[in-house]
Amino acid sequence: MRGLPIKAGIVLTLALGLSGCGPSEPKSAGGPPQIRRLTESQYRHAIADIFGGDIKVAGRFEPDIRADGLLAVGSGKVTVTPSGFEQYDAIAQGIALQAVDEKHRDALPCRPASPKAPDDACATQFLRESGRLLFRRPLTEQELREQVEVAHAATATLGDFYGGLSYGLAGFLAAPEFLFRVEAAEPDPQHPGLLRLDRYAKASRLSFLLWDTAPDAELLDAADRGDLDTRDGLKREVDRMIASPRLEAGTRAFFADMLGFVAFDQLAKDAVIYPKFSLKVTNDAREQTLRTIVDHLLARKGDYRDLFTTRKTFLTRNLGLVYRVPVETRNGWEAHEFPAGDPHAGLLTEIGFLALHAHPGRSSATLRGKAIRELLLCQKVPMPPANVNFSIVQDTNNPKFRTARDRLTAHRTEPTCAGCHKIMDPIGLGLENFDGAGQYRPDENGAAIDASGTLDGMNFADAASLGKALHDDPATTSCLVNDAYRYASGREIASGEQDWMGYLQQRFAADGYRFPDLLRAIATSDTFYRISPTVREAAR
Amino acid sequence: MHASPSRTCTILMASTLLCATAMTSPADAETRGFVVTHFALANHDNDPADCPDGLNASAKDIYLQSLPEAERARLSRPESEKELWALLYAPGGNKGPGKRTHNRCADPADFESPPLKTVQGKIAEGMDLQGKDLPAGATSRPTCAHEQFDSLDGAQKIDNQLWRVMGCIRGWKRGADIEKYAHDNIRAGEYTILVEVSAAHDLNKDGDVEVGLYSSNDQAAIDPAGNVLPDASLQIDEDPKYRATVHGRLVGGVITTEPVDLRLHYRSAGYVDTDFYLKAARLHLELKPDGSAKGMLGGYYDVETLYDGFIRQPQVVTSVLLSYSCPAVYSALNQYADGFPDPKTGKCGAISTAFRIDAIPAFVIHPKAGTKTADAALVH
Repeated sequence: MRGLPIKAGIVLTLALGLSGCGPSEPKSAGGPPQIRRLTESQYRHAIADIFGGDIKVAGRFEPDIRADGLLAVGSGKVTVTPSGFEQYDAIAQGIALQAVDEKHRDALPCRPASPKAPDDACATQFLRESGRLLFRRPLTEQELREQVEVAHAATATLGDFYGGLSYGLAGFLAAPEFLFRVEAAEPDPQHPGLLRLDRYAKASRLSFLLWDTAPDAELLDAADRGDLDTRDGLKREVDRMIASPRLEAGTRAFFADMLGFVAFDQLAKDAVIYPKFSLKVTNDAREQTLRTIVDHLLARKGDYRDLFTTRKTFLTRNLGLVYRVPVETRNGWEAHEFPAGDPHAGLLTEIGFLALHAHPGRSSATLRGKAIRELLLCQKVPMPPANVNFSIVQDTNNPKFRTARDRLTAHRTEPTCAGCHKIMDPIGLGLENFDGAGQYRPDENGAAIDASGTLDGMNFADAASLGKALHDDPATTSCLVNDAYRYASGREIASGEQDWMGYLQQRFAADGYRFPDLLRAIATSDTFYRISPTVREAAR
Repeated sequence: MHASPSRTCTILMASTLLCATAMTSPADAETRGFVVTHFALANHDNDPADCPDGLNASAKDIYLQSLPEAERARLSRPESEKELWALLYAPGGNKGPGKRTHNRCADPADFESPPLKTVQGKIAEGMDLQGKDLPAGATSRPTCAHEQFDSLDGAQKIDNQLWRVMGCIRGWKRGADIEKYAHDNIRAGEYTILVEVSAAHDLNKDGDVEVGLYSSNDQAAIDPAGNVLPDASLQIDEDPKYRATVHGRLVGGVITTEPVDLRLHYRSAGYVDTDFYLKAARLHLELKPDGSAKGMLGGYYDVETLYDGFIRQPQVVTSVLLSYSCPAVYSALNQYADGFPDPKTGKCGAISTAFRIDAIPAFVIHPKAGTKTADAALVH
């Protein structure tokens, strides 16, 4: 289960309640602490931030998995296989060599007395600093000593201080303490009997949520001082991080996860049917949606719901081919606004949604309806039975069923299919004016497309008004809140957190559905760091 | 900066903004943009009457035939190939693409050669550049004496002396190397030609039109099968010399322009970097119901530019591969040149020709005056 969307009535009640001075954060029992493997994105961001953006991270990562609709939740359910460890080790060595090469040597905190001999003082200084950033907490003396000894021995063997140092650094990079985010809990002195994350686990949660990377030195300094355990100190750091340009990386990572963009890695279209759809279009389509989101939510500080109706977006010439609009900029992106009356309005009409949720050679009202239900409304659609006859749906040349609506209507006469298709198809048919590559089309096989339908009682006539219906559906915003918190905590919503979720939804509405404010509400809350005491008992 | 839509506003809902831009005054004004997908010399199909004495021999064969039998036999052996090529490139040698040397293709006037076999047939494709397509008010265009061809349907006279000169060369025949290069080089991004048609009225109606003929430095969008894709945004060349605009008339869906001097940039695989330099060029272009366009571009090709771009720059190796003799071609081009006579000498410096054109919709992007379109910085 991806969690329960908040019912409209509850939301309304809570929102009305907030029009006064507003309720305070409800008490929460918290949830279990997590052990999460870094996603590939987090790994790459961390390396770039610690050692420089030009460091090449070359190698094959263990695949991230989606659990309950999010990679962030899946990251708590994966391990590292033996072959995966070999890969991480190879990647670590490649990074370590670059981090101490001549190009990056000036960034090191010290120079050895001799470049050909061990210098434990300098090695200790470098490894202490980089190890702290990699492990996202101060190193223990034993952890540091072990890697200094490795560097010393390697330097003596190689006759090269920096070569030896790279072995010491690689040890950190391949360590579970770097590859996994291990959350430690401690008693909460302000709430006797309750547990909370320790200060460094808090720092990691904040940093990976807001920036999709490891904590920077400033955040770790704040953790060292205990600032993250005080309301003011925590707020100060959250404000700093939300004001940072790095918030874009965090926002991108969240929405790429929420919208299932990992599927872009497998996206391909039949080149005969959709000759305009290339790998460049695929990559640009993904980027277009993320740019649209970042621009609307961060740069414009827009209402989340308006993402489903906005006509503002960004285009490249590759995308202009598919959208059939002119793009002046030769190599790069430019802002574009579809005019009123144009069929393109909102994320649902971007190639990044339309093509991702379609077949290689045809559109799919079912896949699109399913994606809207699951990704945007957090409503689970059951898997189809194994023995479904898809022949009618797949035959797009049958003169009896010229449009997708015709074919799906015929398909739904099979009782085993009707139940689920009723959930998906009426919504997905609203996007039938766009083919499997996301190109606009007024008709299919010569028959005019009827893109009208109903979304949970709200009528729509076409894709643009479907976007409006989604905009107005309370489940849209409660789904975002739900996903944002699950993404932040890396787990399902605990049974004792329903009041908290209601409160969060209420705050989101009161803040005008501004995404940074939602992140701030999560990041400055007590609940985000609350650990369920039962977990500690179970661990014993 | 503005762009031209590739379709009428009523057809393409998605380009409403674009149409609104184009619709200045009056309300039904329309602009359509195209990218040329096929640009080939209007060579007549293989009529036996064209070359009754057969095709021209290659430079290599001509050279070998000029030698005593024993020497010819020796140089024909595989182990003599390097020596033979050195002799063909003599005296300057082969210095590689674009390197000026003294040899039979670089300096054709310095070498003797048997005369070129030229087209003897009476029928050709092309345009009547002397008759009814004259500029308004002109009764005749200064020319050098030449025999006009008949059109395929016999309804009009055709000026296409370039076809007369090159029509018996294997590599210049219809569908052969030259046409294939021109076709493939569009897809390889070596050159791009844009056409833009604007009118103060709906282009489904007859009336006056303005036609832009432009080079572009942007590569046409190509699909995996090598087809040029419609709806690409392609910018006109920043260099004004590669832009021409001309008035025309649209009648029954076919545009006929007045004459205009025209330069279009052409490149081919690092061997050729030249201009199509057409004087008094005219365009006949049919606007097809499916949004594409098809037609012919005729005019007088400056002989020295033509020789330099398509004979001298490709060098001796091309004269062997495509089977001609450079000195013979140079001589024939000058002999049959029929346009733009020198007022003093009377010698014509340009030769009539025509190109078949196929085009599909594109967005023609105009650079801002005096500026170049820079690559965009990332928005974020």
